[in-house]
Amino acid sequence: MLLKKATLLFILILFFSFSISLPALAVELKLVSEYEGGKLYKAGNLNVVVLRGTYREMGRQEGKLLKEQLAQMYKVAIEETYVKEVGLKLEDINDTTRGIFAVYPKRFQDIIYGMAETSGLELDKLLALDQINVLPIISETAVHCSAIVAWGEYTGGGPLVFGRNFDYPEYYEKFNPYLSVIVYQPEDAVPTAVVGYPGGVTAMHGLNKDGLFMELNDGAASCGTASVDNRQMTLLYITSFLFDSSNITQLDAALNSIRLGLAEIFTVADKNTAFAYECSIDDTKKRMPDKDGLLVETNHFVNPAWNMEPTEGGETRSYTRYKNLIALGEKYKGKFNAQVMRQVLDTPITLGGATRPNLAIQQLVVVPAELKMWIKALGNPGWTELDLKPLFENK
Amino acid sequence: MKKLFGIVLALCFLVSMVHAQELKYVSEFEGGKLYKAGKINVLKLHGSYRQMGRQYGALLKNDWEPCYKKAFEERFIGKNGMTYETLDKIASDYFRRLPKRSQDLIYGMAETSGISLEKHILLNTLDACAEIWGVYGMLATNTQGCSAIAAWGEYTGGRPLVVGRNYDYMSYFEEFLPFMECVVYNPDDGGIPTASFAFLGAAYTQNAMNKSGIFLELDDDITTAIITRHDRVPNMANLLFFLLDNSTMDGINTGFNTTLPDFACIIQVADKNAAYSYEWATYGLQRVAGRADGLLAASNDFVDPAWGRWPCPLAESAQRRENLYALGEKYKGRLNVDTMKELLKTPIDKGGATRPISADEETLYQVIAVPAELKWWINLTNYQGWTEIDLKPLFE
Repeated sequence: MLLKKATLLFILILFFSFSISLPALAVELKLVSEYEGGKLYKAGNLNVVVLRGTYREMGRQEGKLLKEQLAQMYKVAIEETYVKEVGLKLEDINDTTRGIFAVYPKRFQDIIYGMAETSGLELDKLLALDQINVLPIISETAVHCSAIVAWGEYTGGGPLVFGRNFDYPEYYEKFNPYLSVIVYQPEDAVPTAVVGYPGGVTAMHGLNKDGLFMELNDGAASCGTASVDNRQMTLLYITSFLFDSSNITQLDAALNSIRLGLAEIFTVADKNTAFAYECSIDDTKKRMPDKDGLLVETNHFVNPAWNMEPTEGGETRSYTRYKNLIALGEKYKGKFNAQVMRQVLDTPITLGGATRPNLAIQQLVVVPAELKMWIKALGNPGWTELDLKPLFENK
Repeated sequence: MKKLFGIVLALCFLVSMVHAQELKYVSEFEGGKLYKAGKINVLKLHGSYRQMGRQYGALLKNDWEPCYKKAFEERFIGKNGMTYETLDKIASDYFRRLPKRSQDLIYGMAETSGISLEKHILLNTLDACAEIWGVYGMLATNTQGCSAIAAWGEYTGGRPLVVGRNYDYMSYFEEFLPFMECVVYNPDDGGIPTASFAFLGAAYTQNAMNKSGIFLELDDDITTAIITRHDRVPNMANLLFFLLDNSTMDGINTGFNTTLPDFACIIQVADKNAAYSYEWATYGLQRVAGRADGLLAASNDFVDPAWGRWPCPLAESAQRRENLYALGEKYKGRLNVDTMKELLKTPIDKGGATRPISADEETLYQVIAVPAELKWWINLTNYQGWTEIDLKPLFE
């Protein structure tokens, strides 16, 4: 009798969990190929590339290991989507991306020059792929994103957990078959993993070996889309700052020292805490957590020092998503872990969450203390668990 | 015959004036090499930042303790009455804001120098800290010195661009001039080889030139309120990385435009073609191209009209800048390394910008650079006269 009850209870729990969110798939990494010390693995549908050496060497490895994906990605993203579908002119894309690349710090130029040596793609094509996430901004397509971080009382003393929605144009679903985790192991910087598309040294989110996670949200809801040309490409800062920071104090100093060309919001966390950095084109203001143990960031500035009212930002519905995530944060207070965070991210706006089912191109749940990441890509089935610890080891 | 002899003698004298100080090999450690240019240590480092730090620490092993003792024990604590705790607090605050590459240099030094990491963290602020001490109200005088002039085009008569700078600081810093080093970083991660002229143990720079022929130097600013942002990456660390990471003036320009400093300053940047002043406030930036095509002078107040009017008295700084412009005009068409030396010799009361030796504040050292030739000349007051250092063979 007792056994029957226990079995029933177990089935009910199992059913309940499945009905809310599919369990994460802990996939085994399968080695696909190696080149000059770099390795390509598959984790389910994800490409996982581990690169080692100088920046030029890492570029060479990526170019060779992802040769096929780079060519396909260029065809699908640039030729078929941005040129044919969105209507951008290839000359305009090339002019823009050459200008951006010309002022890259040398180490990032070196990665791309390295790729050009082995990928079979000419430099212009690689530059276009590197700016894949900038092209929607050029084509004036609205982009969104949201983040929620829980720790302390909100995780019931469990490790800090970070949830992130990368909301971008719907056509990005076509790029997801090429989604890759690029793990850089530079000789002289902190090993860093970024999740994105082949060919990009720019990134929208990344985690380094010292357990620092960073992600980027658009800040247009508060500051509009005014931009300044003579600034460094914002999307380079995820990779750059994670390379250069071993702890949150260094990362904090770096973020407090930037002046961006476009309004953006960085949300960062280590294993203990999280902050946001709300950046206009004139200044950067650090934003403290909403509650002790909870930080939510969408696309409007929250720091009272800006003296700005919360805004929906039109169709982005920034304030609604913010309020929904705060409410979900309170609902799950004391219970947050990676599984619960996945449930939160699986909750659409219509059901009180922040997720747009057709625009949530990539979703990430990260536990910095464990160097673990769960990734869900629109069009791919469910969540994929990735343990980055062994990938950060220099073997 | 006598005339000919006189001409030959004069030529010999001129040749000796501009002859490069031959680098004398002293020692090596783990791939790094120590040379001497007269009394100035010249280090050629190679490898990762940690490795370069290790080489730096070992090659100057005999200097670390004497420098620490002279600067911190005898001067700052002994004569100036500061406490170790205060110094340590300031230096630790400075250190924790440095990027990993800078910290790696210091960790490397501490592995081989024979002195503790704590002492290295203090030494890393030898002249950076004094900036901070001013803010903390711990200086007898609030020192804002330094000036620079760059000439090219018509002003050099078509010869290479030449830039000269005065480093003005508290006079007692003369005690530390034996501990100024020319350090050449050759990172093996693909970074651009870069030479810095700085006090012993500094993982930052106020005077530097990279292999791509970009030179920069730092002058203080007195225009904006003296505010130090203790939550930002130290400017002087960023300056070093601007050169290590960028091979073009456009890249450097982007770096300045995207980076907010921890304290306000004016940076002169020059390559073989042109020079600019970056008026770098904690809340914004203006780039100044100079008053004439081929001549740029800067001292310690912002001049770009976009800043508006300033409430504080700027006459002394403005006078030094005006003097430099006047001297630039005087030497128009003839500016080269030798005339730049003459120009930098001219004290303020004789129409120049150089501060005479005094008990309070003076021009402690001077640097002249010719980016096209990857050469610089250094003059250390009361320690060693003009010394030419050819950086080309030191860049790998």
